[in-house]
Amino acid sequence: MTLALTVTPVVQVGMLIRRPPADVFRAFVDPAITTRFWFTRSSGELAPGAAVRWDWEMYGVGTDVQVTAFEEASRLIFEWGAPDARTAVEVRLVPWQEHTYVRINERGFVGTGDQIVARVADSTGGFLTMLCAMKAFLEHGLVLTVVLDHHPAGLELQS
Amino acid sequence: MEQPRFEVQLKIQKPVAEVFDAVVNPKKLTGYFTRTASGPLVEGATVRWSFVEFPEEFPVRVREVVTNQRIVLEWESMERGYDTRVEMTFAPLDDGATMVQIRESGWRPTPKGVEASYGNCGGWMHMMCCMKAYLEHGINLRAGGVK
Repeated sequence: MTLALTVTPVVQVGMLIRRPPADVFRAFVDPAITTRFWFTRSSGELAPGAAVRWDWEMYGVGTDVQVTAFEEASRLIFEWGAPDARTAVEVRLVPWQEHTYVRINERGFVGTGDQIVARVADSTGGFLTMLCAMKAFLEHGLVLTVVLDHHPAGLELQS
Repeated sequence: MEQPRFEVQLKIQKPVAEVFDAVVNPKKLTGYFTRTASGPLVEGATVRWSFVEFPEEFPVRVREVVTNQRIVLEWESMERGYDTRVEMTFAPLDDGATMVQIRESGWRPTPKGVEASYGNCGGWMHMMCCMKAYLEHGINLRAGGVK
């Protein structure tokens, strides 16, 4: 069977975080907070036009991040990924009651149809994992270790 | 090109028997994933799950259950009219924790099928994160996660 991609797939995930938009925005911007639930090291805070580096030290991976939109407590866009496969991530904070619905889109995937379909699935799972960890931290003060426990060191499983 | 499919995984810091029970036992499953579950996952049974986001119940056909190792389910694609197949595996780790992997396949190779597969990919990753929070920390992370 062949799959004809008429539209390049995008990542689209969301979750309600029961904290005010200003707090949720701060959690994305301030690496002292973000490192409790996502990457483990950052070269600096997000700011308008900022270029930073994020690392996941337990996996030995990292990415350069370029902020292209920065709207306080409302919206962020950044580009990240390998130089030949940059994608754009938009984080929108939608107020709901006194809380925040976090909507994440990622677009700009390149590759063969098979590669794009697989990359979008991987990224969908990755952002869901991050949002769960963010929710656990901001609402419960818990470090859920879901990013760390996604790929335990040295573990080989059949696929 | 292959049909849309995905695989998600997460290590849960609990023994395999406890993790397995958190999936098959409806009293536990409703503590972090479904709103209701009509019964335990028993091979050959059809159980009904409901979720806070959806008004309807979803029949889940239990095709295979190997205690503490493997569960195979089939349920209707969100594209409707045909089933997809969910395979869960549970692997005990040396440190007493458990690696859970969930694979789902069977969508049609259409743009709508691909989109439906992403919905479930995120859904199962969400489920495993909530299972981890439930088993390791005793909280329901799914509650309040959707409007």
